[in-house]
Amino acid sequence: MKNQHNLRNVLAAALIAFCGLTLTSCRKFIQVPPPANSIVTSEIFADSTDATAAITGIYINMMNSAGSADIANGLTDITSGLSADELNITSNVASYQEFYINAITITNTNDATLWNTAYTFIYQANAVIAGATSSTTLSTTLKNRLTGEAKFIRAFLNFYMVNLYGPVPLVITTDYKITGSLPRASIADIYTQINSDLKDAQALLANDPAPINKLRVNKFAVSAFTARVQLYQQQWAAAESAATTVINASYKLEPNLNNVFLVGNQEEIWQMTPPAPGDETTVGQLIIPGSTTSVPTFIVTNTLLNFFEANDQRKLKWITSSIINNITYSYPYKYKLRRDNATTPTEAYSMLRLGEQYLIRAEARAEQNNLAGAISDINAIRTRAGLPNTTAASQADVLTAIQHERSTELFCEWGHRWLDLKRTNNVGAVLSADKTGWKSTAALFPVPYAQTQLNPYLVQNPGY
Amino acid sequence: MKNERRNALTNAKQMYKLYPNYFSQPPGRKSKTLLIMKLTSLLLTLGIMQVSATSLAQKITLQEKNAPLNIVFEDIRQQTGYDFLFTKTLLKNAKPVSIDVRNVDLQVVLSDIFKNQDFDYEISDMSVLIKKRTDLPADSKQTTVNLIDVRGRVFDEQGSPIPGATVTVKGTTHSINTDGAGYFTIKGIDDKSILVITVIGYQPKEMAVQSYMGNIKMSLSASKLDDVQVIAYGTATERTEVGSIAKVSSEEIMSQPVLNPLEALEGRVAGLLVTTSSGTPGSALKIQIRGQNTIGSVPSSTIVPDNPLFIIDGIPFAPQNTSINRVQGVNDANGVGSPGSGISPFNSIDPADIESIEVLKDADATSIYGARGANGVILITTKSGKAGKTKLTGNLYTGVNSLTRTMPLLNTDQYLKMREEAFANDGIKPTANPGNSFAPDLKVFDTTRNINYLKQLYGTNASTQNADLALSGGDAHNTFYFSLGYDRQTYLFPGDFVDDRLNGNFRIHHTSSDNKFIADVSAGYSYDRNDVPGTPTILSAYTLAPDFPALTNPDGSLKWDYKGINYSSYFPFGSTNPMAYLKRSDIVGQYSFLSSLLLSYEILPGLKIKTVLGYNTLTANEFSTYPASAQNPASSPLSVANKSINNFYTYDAEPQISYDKQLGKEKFSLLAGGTLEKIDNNYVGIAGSGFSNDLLLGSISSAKTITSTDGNTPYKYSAGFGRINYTHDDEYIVDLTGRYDGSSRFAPGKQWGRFGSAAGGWIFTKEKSVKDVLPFMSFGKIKASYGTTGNDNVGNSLYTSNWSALATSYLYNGSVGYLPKNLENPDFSWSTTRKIDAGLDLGFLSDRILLSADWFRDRSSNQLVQYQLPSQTGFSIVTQNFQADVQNKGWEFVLSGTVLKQSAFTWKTSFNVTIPQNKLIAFPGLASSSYANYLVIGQSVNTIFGYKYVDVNPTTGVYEFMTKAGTVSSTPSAAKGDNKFIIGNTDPKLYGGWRNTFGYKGFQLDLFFEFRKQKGLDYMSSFTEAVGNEFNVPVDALNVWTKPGDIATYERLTSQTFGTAASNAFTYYRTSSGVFTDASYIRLKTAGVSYALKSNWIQVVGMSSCRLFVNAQNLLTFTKYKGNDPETQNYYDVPPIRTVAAGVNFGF
Repeated sequence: MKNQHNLRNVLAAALIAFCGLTLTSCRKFIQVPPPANSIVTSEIFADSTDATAAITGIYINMMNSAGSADIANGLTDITSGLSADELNITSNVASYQEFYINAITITNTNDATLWNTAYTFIYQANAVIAGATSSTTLSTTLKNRLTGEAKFIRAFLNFYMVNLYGPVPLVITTDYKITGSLPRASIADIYTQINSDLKDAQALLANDPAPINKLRVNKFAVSAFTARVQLYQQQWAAAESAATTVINASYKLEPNLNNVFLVGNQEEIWQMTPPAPGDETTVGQLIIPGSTTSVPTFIVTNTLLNFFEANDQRKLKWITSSIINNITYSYPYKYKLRRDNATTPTEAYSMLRLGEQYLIRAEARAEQNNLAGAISDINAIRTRAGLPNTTAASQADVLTAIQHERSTELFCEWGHRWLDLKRTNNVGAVLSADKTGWKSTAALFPVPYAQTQLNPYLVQNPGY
Repeated sequence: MKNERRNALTNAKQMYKLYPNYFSQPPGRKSKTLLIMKLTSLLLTLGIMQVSATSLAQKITLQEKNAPLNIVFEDIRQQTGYDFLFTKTLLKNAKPVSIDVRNVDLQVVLSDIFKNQDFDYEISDMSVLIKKRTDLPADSKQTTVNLIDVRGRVFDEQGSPIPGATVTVKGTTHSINTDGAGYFTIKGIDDKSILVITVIGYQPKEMAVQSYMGNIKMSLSASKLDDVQVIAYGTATERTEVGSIAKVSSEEIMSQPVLNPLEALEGRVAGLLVTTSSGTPGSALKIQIRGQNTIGSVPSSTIVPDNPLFIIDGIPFAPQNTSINRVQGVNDANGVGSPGSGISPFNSIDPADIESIEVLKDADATSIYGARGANGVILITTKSGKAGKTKLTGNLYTGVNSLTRTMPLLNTDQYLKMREEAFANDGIKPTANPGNSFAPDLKVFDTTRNINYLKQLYGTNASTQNADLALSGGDAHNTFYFSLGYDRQTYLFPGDFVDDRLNGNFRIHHTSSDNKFIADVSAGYSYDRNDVPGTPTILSAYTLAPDFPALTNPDGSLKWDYKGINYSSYFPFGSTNPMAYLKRSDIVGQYSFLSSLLLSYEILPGLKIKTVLGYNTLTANEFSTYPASAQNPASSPLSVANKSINNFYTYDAEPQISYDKQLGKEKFSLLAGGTLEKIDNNYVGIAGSGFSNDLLLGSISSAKTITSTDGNTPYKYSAGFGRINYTHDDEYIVDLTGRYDGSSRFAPGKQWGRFGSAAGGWIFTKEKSVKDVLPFMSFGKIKASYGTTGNDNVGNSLYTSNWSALATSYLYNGSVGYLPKNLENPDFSWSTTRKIDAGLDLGFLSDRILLSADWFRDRSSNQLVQYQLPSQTGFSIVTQNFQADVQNKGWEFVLSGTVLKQSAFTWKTSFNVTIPQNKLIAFPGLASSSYANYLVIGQSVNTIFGYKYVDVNPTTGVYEFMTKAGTVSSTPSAAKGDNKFIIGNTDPKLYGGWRNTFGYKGFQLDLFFEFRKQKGLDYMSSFTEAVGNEFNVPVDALNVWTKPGDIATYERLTSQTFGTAASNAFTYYRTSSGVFTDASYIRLKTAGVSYALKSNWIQVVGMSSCRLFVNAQNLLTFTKYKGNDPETQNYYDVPPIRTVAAGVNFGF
């Protein structure tokens, strides 16, 4: 009995002590460490490995996994190809079909993906720029490298946004309180930012050794892209000079057209590879039909087929076809692989390649009336395609020949055809002849409906 | 009335039998019963409170002051039906009577009345004979007080002693509690005193003292008002409770053949809205108490329902009401982790182990849960043993499940006609070649084929089996309860998909010999294995054309080619061979362990120190496979297997100190305590892809590529709380609670919040003046409460910007990458809800009919939401406090009673209805926020904006809509939502349930109707393409425009997904008021018939009870809804299934 009493007393005392203790330790109790699978921003930019991983995260995010295309991973190629006169679609998926008929609804999901993914990557770039700039522990070399890459990526995405959508909000900070209600910037302001970002990137990446790695942005990628941006702004001399920098570097046109899009090809200036194991490029996955009995989803138009001169090797090597039910379906064949479960990818998504640089320089030279220089650049491309030298002689003819050459060299790549038609003010003339129901307002994609709902300051493009 | 009676009595004859003049007795009893029945029905149906009738109860409530004895007799007679037999002369010397008793035994009242009279009485049959006192005391006016010691022992109905019963000397503050063995001893009291014995849930008992009182048997209170209710940190009865609490009993839960206890709550509680998300076994349920307090994190999509806090035996349930699977299964109709879909963690709880479920609604009931009580609290209490004979009880049933209401689909003839008309309308000639004119269903397939794919996929009847056994018993100091259960439910899909559960529970209760120390231990373990088909896409498979070629080869393998073309070209809109879905699987194993330990010690009388310690964990082990053989060979098949382990933990410690004191009529109850709680959710997932053979899918290590994911979200929470409860004479009640809460989900400096409530109640029927005016009212209470509760219902660590590493297998050229996960916002903190509740509880005819009405108004401010941002910010959301006030107000009525109670036949009924209203009352800066186009001040937060549907233009045959400019257009511009109008909301306007149980001898019939008045979206809103395209539709969709002049329900058919006038108009129609339809319904939710075998039959085999039953769930639905089921609404979801089960419930 006594023992029982003792036990009870002990229990009672323990209870009292426990209650007292817990009540006094409440405040401390609720401090928790951050989740084990995340790192706070300040920690990221305190360490070189982590900071590098932050920029690698942009590449991984841009490449996504196979089958889910985004603005930097094939969706621009396909939507622009459909909008122009390069691609057609055999399935009745409205989110693609609407691009083909140039009547995109504002709730189109692919349109929303283009817009949303661009800003996701821009945020990441801004985060790296802010984090690297404010870091006190990173070396200057690494800071320069990270900031240079991030600024380039921001410029690259802004270039596509302004060309696909017209004046878009210009986002250069991570603070959502500022960016959340940004209205559209002017096209001039966007180009000013692109130019300044490219200039900064050029300077920040200038001391990098020659392209050690085509899979990351390097100083030649910056030059190559600067050439294009200058061309679009009709800064012919600047475009020529930037293109020359690249052409004079160690890149070479790949003589075998079947090899151009392989990982590490000598023609490639900047490539990206899919991070998901076993994947090849998303464009390949979307375009190459799965079996001989599958009707290809995306087929090339007769208009595009007719662009090719006889014996153009590019028509033979970069386009192929399936015959199903006695009907021939031709489809782009630059990328030749679907998902193949290989340990490392064989093909890489071409972001910038030398072929385009020749054509940029040709156009810049032609505009500056350096016709001989222009013709020699055109012929470099034609020779590789197995074609005779161009017969164009006058400036106008040379310029026409350059546009023609761009349509056969760069077809279904990065929306070149669509943007070329627009920048040369030919889009209406060409497409109204090719398609029914063309409206001039279709030259710009619509701002996704949800975004105009979420940002009351965001105005829709005319015609939508 | 009284005068009349008096006269009647004065004029009475020598021998008096007090009834003939104005009451017809025995024959009249029937008519009285009939009258009561009628009146009760009237009450129940019309809610009219005026009634005047007598009752036959044996409990008496009397309040008289110096009343003549015969008047008192008459009162008693009216209440009990007992006749009084006396002679006039005898009563001449009667002394006037003063008495004030409530609900007291006839015998006690009589002894009280006759205490000072010169005559005695004798009860025989239904009459009281008044006779001369034979042994009058020498001096009847003697006032000497004899002090005696009184001893006795208190038992319950089953003969188990009741510890802790309160024994009070009537009219004094002298009271004592019975000890652990039910004994009490009171020393030195007047031998003429009356003892009052009270125990929660039992009728109070009054007895005249004698030195040995013997065994005193308490009887359970006949009034529902005295049922024990579990409240926050304690128990109470409805009679004196001032908070708004509803209880669902074990009996009600067990009347339904369901495996998830939450399902059993649907329609049973006023103010609680339970919505089934899908009829597939194990699916999650949406649960909401008193409406939506928060604004949706994504304004354009369905708002996440505010989940209440779930507490099981005092310990917060680790996973709460979140879906536990991480890889997509068929239950994830709206994607993994989407609100209300997925697999419910409550499948781990066997309804048979539940003693009761209490739903706490208002501030008084929930404020003590502080931060987590904003959305209400649901307390689940498991069964415990009872002292007495060891009992073995069991419940076994088996049943058949079938599909409920679906829309009939087109057969091939109708379908082909539709397609031909669609092409003709568009002026397009259908062809056999892919492209805009591709019509394989018309030109390629065998058009004599006619398959109902809905039937083929859902047509199988599934089965349900259940077996529960429980062993319980014990003595006054130690009781135990031990149970085992097994359940099994199969799927409607062809194949071996099944959900089984095995569970065991035990609970031990110990009280020390001096009744001061209490230990209560409970533990439960369950394993649920749910074998689910791998993807919800299967649900849309029945849109396949009815002439679609065979899906499988004769050998059972999947077919992928037909006439030289791969199926991928035939399947519209990216679908795949539906039989392939059935070759995928997602096996979710749920292991749940619940435990709690309560230790309590009474330091001084009334002063207790107590600690509740709890640990519960739920682990979901998932294994899903996507074999290459289930994939189209044309899509580079890659076999994939996923395994994941998802753990939820709660560690909870709640030390408390309480003090209860009764001083005469004043009763105080004080409680103070603290909470330390850690809730963790962590998961690990590994995925393997590229298996060389599908047979190796079970072993991830044989995959070519292995990737892994993991995560953990530590969450800690602590609080201090207190409650003061004061009761005066069981008439006035005051309740104050407060809580100081800290949560790790907020940035330092923002972590702490204060919450509190005040409530009061007045039982006005304790007042004589009220009783005189409302004699038919046996109970009346008004109550009101006001208070605040909080909400920290956001993710963990969101106040700072976090980056996560992408999986190591997801490398970019060999390098690892980090991704930013969220936007930084250190400023957010508690959101608060201010709750007001006012209620009226009434009891009539000795509580035979109970009516309670509650008015509530909850206002939530400082909303804690995932504020939606335009994507230009880089994210779509940021966690923020939101200066918007959301109001939920409404009425709740509950009416219950025994309509009819005769020896053979009983009819009990219970009806509840809730009339809620949700409204956004303030939102500064709405116009410039991202919610500008989704919310309107003065409207529900579930407001739907859409185009205003006008008609089908009789000339063009295309839908037309009203624009803001007042014109009519088939393509109202969507930009800026300019032409969108408020088309309504999906909030229920009214919901509730009505239960009727009829008993006749051993038979019982139980009918429960659930009803809801609401609007919803019809099946057309689920279609992504206009009708006439290559997919099957319900027959209803054929009410289309065919020629100019037609006044049609639906527009002309079109074969195109885009580009035609009809397909363009359809994109507006599917978000217009045209698809917003009446989705009200009345459902015969539960229908059960049971028969209790006669005890003399079953005693032969040693049984104490045995009941055979047939129960049906979701038997009938009455609705005008255009779609499959008005509750789940999603056209592509499995509607709630119908279960018909037969079984036996027995006890030894």
